[in-house]
Amino acid sequence: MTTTHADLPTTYAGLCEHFGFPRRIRSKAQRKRAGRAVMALARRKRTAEQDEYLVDLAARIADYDKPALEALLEQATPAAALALLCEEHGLSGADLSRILGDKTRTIGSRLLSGKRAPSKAQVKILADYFSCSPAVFL
Amino acid sequence: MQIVTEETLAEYMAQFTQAEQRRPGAWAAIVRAAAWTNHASLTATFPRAGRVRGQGNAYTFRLGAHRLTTDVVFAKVDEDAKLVQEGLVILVAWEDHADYERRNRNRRRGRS
Repeated sequence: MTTTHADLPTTYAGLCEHFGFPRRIRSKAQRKRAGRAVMALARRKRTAEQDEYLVDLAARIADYDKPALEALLEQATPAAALALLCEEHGLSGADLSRILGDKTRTIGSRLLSGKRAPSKAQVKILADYFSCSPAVFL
Repeated sequence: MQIVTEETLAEYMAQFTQAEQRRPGAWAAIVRAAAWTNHASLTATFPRAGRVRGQGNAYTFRLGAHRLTTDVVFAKVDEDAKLVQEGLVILVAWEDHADYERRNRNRRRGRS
């Protein structure tokens, strides 16, 4: 069934009737249907109930996709996350050293290359600076 | 934030080499640990993230040579800043910059 944005129900109950209640996903076919429902609701202005439905459905999808997400997260080293954030904020290794209060200006490049792990105090400074969870750097 | 895609994440990531997965992997680790409640909290972490006009909370992220298009449902907190609804990031498209610009030009012209 093809559904246009304009056709979509705006209430939680209506969406349950249209796409089904967000319940545990047990098969590829159910995962496929859930994925289609998510995309039908994506990239549009939504009501609060549509958001709520989307979040509930996504939680079921996330449970099903958990092994794949974990595999993807394994690719992410703290150094890779730091490098991405520095790129995003336009910072060099020397800038990072300055932010961390390192006068020798070497700590930034060592953290970025993964040759050194940040200390607890540095993790806090980085998390505050980049407005992210400290867990990203551990 | 939860992260979901239309197909399974495994299928989605299978199109990339291990090296190519490093950047989205780092991006996913940052997003998974985040609890963005609004545009300001998202751009505090990713200042280059761009909002796509006319598409709700669609955002694009630049990851090296690629552009990641997403749709964000912000987390909700109560008056005490306690999380009442986890946020969500839907991965919509992963393209190189040229493909992204081409698709956007076509969209503006009403061809897609």
